Amino acid sequence: MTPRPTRFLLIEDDDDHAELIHMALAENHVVNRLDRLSDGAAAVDYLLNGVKKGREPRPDIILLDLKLPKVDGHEVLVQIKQDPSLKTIPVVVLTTSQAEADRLKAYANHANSYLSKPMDFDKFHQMIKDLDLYWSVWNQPPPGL
Amino acid sequence: MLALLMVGTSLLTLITTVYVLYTAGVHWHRNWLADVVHNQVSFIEVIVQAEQSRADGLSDRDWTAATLEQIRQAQIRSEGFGTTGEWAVARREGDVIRLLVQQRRQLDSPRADAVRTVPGHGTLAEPMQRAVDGGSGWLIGRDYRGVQVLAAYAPIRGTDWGMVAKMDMSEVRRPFIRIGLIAGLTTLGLVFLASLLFTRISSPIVQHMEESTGRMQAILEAAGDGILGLDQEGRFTFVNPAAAQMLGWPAEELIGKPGHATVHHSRSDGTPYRVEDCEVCATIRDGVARKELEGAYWRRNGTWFPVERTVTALRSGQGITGLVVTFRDTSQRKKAELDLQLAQYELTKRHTEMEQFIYTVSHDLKSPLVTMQGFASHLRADLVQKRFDRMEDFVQRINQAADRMKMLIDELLELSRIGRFVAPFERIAVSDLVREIADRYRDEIAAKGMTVVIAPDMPTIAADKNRMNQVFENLMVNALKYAGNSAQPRVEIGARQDVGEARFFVRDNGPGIAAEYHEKIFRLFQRLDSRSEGTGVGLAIVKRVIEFHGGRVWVESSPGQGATFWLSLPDRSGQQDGAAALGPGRVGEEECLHT
Repeated sequence: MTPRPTRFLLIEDDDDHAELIHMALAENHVVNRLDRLSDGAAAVDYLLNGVKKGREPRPDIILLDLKLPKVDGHEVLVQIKQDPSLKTIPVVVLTTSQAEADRLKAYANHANSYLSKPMDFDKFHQMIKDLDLYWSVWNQPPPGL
Repeated sequence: MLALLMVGTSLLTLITTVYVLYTAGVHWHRNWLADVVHNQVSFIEVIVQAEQSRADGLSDRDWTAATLEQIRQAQIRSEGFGTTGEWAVARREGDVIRLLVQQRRQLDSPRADAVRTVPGHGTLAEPMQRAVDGGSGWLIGRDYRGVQVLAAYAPIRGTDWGMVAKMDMSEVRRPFIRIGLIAGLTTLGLVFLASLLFTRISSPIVQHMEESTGRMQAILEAAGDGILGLDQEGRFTFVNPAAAQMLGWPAEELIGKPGHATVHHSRSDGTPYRVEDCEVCATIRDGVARKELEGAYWRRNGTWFPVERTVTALRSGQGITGLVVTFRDTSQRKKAELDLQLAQYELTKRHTEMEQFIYTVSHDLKSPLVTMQGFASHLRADLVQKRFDRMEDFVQRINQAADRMKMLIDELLELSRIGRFVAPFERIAVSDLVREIADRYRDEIAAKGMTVVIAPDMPTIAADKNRMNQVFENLMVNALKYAGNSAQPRVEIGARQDVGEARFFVRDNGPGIAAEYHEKIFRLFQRLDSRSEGTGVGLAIVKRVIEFHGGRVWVESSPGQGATFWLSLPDRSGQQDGAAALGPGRVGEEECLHT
């Protein structure tokens, strides 16, 4: 398997968390590009008006926080999974919430994966590394994308 | 009463009986007297004829004397009749009537023979007057003594004499009076006995009935439920005090009024309730008892109240004779039910809020921890690798996250205090309060060249002063923050008096808020801009405080049009805590702090 360049879209309102994710990806030498949006409304707009219409590059994987200003993560997830062309993008929910209700709701809305933000540095790095490996190396994306 | 009736009836019967007997008695005596007269007259006529023929040529005086002597001789042994019966033969002599022969039971009575003449005219001795005048018959009249007598009279043919047989009416009447008296007394005695017996027998029954009726009456009057009696036509026949009170009518005025048209004419929504649809009236027709849980009755004053009603038909041999309706005012119960529902709703809401709160707190408090641990790990890694260029940035991020966490915890504690620690309400002149707050932000206002307009005569409110200070400060800080971005920043604070509540507003000419976020912004930790300072607790505090004071908070805004935050507080001017009448609420003269 040849690693191919992976384009991450991070939807995260917390600058520090965004920076931590960015650093984790960078330090694990993951071949990637990271785009970031800091609120739910901007994310929906970016995906529906940008990505869908070809004005913005299509992300290979979306990292989605649930607690977002304006439009919350669950609603963003619904918007992605309702759209025929966007729904094939794997969405990994990455949140501090460990509430069962959030997990249930995320999977009910067709999240591809649900991860809690760990507080431990090493775990976090390992998780990011595995995440990249899984989605961009082992996982076979749908054809034609 | 009954005894009187009995006495009356008995006496009437008695009198009638005695009268009939008396009439018969009088008739018998009359006939008997007439017989006496007839016999005597026949006898005397025979003697007269005999004497007249024998004494042919004798003077009138002589045969008369002879005749009379014969009559006397003949009658001397006669026993007469009765005790007062007597007869006499007489003739007219001038103005008087001279008695020629008379027969009395007691001839030796000195008074009897003393009478020789009786008046020839007038009311006395009327029978004799008629007899000597040639009349015959009978009568009840006065004799020569003036005593009422029953008399038969007849003339004696061949002479100018007349004969009368009579007896005192008192003698005729005596037996009847005695019978009447005896029978009357017996009747009275019997009636008395009967009454006594009746009373002895009936008084316990009457007493029992009276007690029973009294008890029923007491029950009906003491009943808390309304009890109505209606006849076949649906007219009131009985209204107990509870019913009268609930319906707002004096009971006696309702009697005879048509029930449906008077208290049951409309449904609770005010639409007419036709008699044909009326459930109560249906029972009059079919006799089926009905229970209605959601009924309504209308008071005299035109208001209605909800009732629970039971309708039962009254029956007798002829079928349904009326209705009994019992009902109770269910408004209290309905209110209690509503209160309970409200309390349940409130509880559910609180529970949801609490869950939301815990969820939000756990999430938002964890967020800075993730940051701190994340950067601390990087810091350690960099230390190991002796890479120092990023350390300061990491430490700073950790510090900021710690500060943020502290702020969150402080504000959450503050939020949790609302409603738990309540200072006594005091009168607050809102204009003064807002002015004080503005004064604290004087430097910032001046630095950004802002215009702050505070209405000088906003209403006075009764509230927890520290909390209201917090509310207005949070709103003003927000307004200053968002207005600060516009070219000519302007913040306006004013009020408006509305029915039953005072409304205050804090208006800015900042970027405004889209409609979909109007509700969301008051939720805990909801921020529209992740980069803006603040924790997302400020408006939640405002909402919580205002709701605790019984008011509402909302925002009017659209993007590009600025934002107006409204607070309404119930008008407590009527309350004892002295929240004075709320003053005029319009935005008054503008008062500019800085321009």
